[in-house]
Amino acid sequence: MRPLPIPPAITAQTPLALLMARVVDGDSAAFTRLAEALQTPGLRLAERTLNDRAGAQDVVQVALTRLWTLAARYDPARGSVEGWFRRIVINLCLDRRRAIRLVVPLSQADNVASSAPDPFEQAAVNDRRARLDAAMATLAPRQRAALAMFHGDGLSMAEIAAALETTPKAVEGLLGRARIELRKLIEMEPRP
Amino acid sequence: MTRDHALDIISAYGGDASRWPASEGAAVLALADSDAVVAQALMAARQLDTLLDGWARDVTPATIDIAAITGQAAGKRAATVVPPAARRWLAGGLAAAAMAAGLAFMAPVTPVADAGIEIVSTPAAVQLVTAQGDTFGSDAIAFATVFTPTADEDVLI
Repeated sequence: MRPLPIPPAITAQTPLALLMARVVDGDSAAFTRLAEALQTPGLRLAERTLNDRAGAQDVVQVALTRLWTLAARYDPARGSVEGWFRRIVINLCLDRRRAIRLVVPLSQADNVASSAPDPFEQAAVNDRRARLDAAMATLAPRQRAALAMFHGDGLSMAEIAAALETTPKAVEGLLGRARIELRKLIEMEPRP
Repeated sequence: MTRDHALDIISAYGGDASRWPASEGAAVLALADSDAVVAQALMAARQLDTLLDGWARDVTPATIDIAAITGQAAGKRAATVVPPAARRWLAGGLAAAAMAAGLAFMAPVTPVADAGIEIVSTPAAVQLVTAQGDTFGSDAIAFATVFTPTADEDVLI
């Protein structure tokens, strides 16, 4: 009887696809490394999509649990581990969409005070940021998800489309409408 | 390159030319040099990009309890994982059942009444969509697309 080959040690450089293959076999050390690699981008995407930090942590916890318990369902032929995880996160976020509420009402965005030492510039930055946060709260979760993936992760239209289970053309429309809506809501004036 | 097309690209992709479709970037920039409307849209898009880049990347790091996942979910995972041979039989069985159900669902049944009158039945799904209108049908499809079962529902599926 031939001895079983010893799998290579897990390092920070181990590719995610290799980690996932070991997770499928129940390797908890590989899962820990995989979860460490996926949790920050997952949290970023979930927090931006939900506009809710606590909810985002719940979503990522559940998403990682699914990654572990349903690992056998992962099919590398259908996409990368990151892509699969992104889809789980987005689907969980969209399932929670009824619980989403405004974080800062638009009417209050004008009255946000600045406590920064450089009053004028910092106040302007704070004001723009407060307006953006308030405007974001009015967008649909899918629009926020698309913006987060485009601007936060630098994903292409095709990658965003795969995560949202739609077409690149539809993502272009989604992003275009989101940007137009945002500009109207925060009333940005182009500076010369 | 028309003004409308350039504005569409800027609207969807923002003001960073490196993110635009490669085949159209040069034409959009050239048009922005000669068209004030496109130039202004480009400038506004770049301002919005700056805000959105900050918004998308500025998230406080948090730590997920990974050990709790592998610990608590161990039993559930063991129940979920199906041996490869059994998986093949299960997949074959499910495919056969789905095909049989599909045939039963799709095929119009045309029973003939005693009096010789032909009764044509309609599949249930068609009746549902027709009765509720297109909007209901679209919503149902959209819901099915985004619906993610909970862990407990997953076991049932």
